[in-house]
Amino acid sequence: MNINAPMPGKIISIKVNVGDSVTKDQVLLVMESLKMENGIRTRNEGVVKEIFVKAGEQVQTGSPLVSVE
Amino acid sequence: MIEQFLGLLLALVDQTGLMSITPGNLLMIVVGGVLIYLALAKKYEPFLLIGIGFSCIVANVPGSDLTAPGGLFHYAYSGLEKVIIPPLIFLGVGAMVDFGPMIARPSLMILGAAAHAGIFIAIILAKATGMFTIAEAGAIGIIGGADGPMAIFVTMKLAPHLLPQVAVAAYSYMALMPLIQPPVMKLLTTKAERSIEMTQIRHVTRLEKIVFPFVIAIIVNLLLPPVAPLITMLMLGNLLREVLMVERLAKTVANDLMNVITIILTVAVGSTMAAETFLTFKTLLILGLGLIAFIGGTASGVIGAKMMNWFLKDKINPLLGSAGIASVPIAARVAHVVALKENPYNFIIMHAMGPNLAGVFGTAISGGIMLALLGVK
Amino acid sequence: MEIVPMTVPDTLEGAYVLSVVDFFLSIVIIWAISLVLYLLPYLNKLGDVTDESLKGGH
Repeated sequence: MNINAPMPGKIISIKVNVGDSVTKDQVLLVMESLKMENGIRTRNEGVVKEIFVKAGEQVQTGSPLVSVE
Repeated sequence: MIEQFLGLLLALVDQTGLMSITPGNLLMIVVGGVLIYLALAKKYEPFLLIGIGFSCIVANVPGSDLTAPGGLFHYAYSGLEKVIIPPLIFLGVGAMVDFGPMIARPSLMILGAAAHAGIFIAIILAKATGMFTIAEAGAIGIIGGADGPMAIFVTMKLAPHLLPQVAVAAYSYMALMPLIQPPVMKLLTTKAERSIEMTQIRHVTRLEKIVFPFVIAIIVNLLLPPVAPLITMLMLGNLLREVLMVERLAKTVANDLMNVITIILTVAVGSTMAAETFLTFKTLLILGLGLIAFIGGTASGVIGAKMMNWFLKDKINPLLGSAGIASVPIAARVAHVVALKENPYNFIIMHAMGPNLAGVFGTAISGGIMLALLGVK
Repeated sequence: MEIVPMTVPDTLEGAYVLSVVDFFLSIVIIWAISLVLYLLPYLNKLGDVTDESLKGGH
């Protein structure tokens, strides 16, 4: 399942690596929007399958960020 | 010989301000110091408070003619007196802001007007004290618009002698909005309401964003001449931004020009904070009324959003109402943070930016109608 | 009856009148502006302006 950007902004840091197991509500990455840092979480537990963005990258609303299976 | 020397010395001392310093001056120097402290230690609006605090201190040191007519700081004040500075700030703001979230969902614009009942609560209370004329009450009320340049603009037209109080109240309460707003927002909403998630807003095309400033500039010049200078400049700045072709101009007005104007503005506001006009009971009253205006505006915005929900199939998060207060993007951030506390997946910042941007127009429209009703051109 | 333009009197009643009229009118005007903004998407039928075609002025 893909986790998409809920708003436009810049990726500040990525907290997980491909292959990591993640639990429900865990913060996967931090993005900045209008000078506020927001933790982007996963609603499901699973394993990180793919990370689509790099730190420093600018994303638009709906851009895929991380895929968790 | 010694008498002659002492006589000369006395004449020199007379030339300085040493003999004319008052306890009020000393107190205002402390006030200026507090503003500097808040800026440096608490990081409250340092870009504004450092300049205001510094020139407040200087203005209260007697001796020089810096703030007297013909003095250097007086020329900065002339920029406010002739209402040139606030529209130039709006030019910069226009070049910084993406109105996309507002254009995408016009239905939420009405919150930008609903969130300004605080202005009118303050006007009525100010008039009820019997201490202010209706023009002064109007200037005090506009503090609740939470829009610095707009508050200065309206005050300079209605009651220029209240400029320091209104400007200080407006900018301080804007800095304190993350403390003032959340209790009001929580009091008026349930946890379920604060958790409402909103649907994605539509994409606004480049063509729409380019046409938008023309549309607004025409409407405002036609219907609201008293505030046309502000909104026209806001829209010019926005046009420079959205056409993409003149990036250099857009960046200059958003950064360099804005910085220059900020320095002039803060010097001008600080230099009006002379002890004899600032240290009065009226100042305390104005600060109190300004706070009531902020609280009232936050409350009326939330209530307005809840009333909209009576008619809407897709309910909106009522916290968006509190973002209808103009100060961009502080009010939208506050709404976002409060919503996120209830539900870590609910990112409402972009939704809140719609009413927040509409709040800029809401304040301008309220101010424009007020000036018109009071017979000010 | 002749209606002439007038301004609000400097009384508490004046403050009530000013507040009610101003609040009501600002809601009406902003609502009217929002109606105009609903028309903006129809512009897109005229064609598309791409960011690339605009960038690169001097």
